Amino acid sequence: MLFAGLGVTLSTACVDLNKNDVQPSTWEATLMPAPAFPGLAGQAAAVVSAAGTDLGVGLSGATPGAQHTWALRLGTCALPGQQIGEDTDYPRLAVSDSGKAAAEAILGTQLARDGSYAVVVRLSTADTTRLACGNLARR
Amino acid sequence: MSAASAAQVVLDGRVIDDLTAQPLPSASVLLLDPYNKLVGYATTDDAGHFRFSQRRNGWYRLQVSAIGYQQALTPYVWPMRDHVYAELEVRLAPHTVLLAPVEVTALSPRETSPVLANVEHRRTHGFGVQITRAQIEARNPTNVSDMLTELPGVYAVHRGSGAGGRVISMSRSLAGPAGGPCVVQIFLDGQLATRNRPGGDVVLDELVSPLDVEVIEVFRGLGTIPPEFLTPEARCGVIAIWTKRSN
Repeated sequence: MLFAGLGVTLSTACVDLNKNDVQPSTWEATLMPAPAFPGLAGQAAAVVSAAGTDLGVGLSGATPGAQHTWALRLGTCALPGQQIGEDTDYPRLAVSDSGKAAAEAILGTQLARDGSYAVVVRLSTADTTRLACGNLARR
Repeated sequence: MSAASAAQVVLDGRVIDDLTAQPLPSASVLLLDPYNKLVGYATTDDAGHFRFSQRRNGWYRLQVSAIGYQQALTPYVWPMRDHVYAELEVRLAPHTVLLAPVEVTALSPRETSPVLANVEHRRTHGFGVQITRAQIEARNPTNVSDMLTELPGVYAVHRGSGAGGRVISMSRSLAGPAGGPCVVQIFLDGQLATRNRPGGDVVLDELVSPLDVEVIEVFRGLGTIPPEFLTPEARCGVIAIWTKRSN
């Protein structure tokens, strides 16, 4: 076979038989540290599907050995509202020796396409000082 | 698409200069499936030859590029019938811009490419696990999957028969929020190679050889995945493979 005509393609009709009626959406956030914790950084991401919301958070520059709490809230970092889900839905962020931590939560609810949501990381269950926060943005 | 052949089939060919008919070494050859997904990658040898081994018969086409030449995208072909080798010849037309001779003098050590600079930044400031070229050379694995499965939470799942049918799975991908398995997202030099449909898993060891790998990044959770790799299926984990070509 010889292909001398460059850039020539044959068109084919492809049908995706597995196309789902509910298109998943992805959301992301950059976590900004609270003024008292300037060394912290982090990110969060969520995938919303028909089954619910899969949410993950990553934190760096934290104190090794620390265990922080986090949650998704309605609203924004400037004006956070009600927490989505229960405390038990969110596994602790256990900080490694390198100062990094990551955790994931599976929520049974779907995020509204036009809703406002924020991921908030706090010092601990007992001390709810905010460490970092990021507003989720849909991609 | 008709039923797949169980045996391995091979697609080979060569890339030549359209004007001089001379072979083109170091040309980049991408093998694309009907979904336009990358399923294989090779560079031509000194004689302009390339070769792909595939487990399935099917329609494929090639995207071929080389420095100083126009990129070529071939029509779809069904070359892999009855295990007969297909001998393809792809002719690349040279760019018409004439360049004056350039003398290059090295004043400083070779700099890392921007791509690998990003990888290095993620190693120091980001998340995930990296397998470096030095680690690969020290381990000298037969397959890329041999090293990946040594990481916690990373498994090889056999699809079909034969040793070459291993696909990579991670803990998260065993059951997603929807209750079913989902596919680990594999990126090769920044391009998504995974096909997100049932049976669309990439047989990683057919995609790339350890000899070609510069660094591998493994991200196991949504909270650790860099934005450029974030897809709806990324919750099942992401593996980003950067070949020597990316440097």
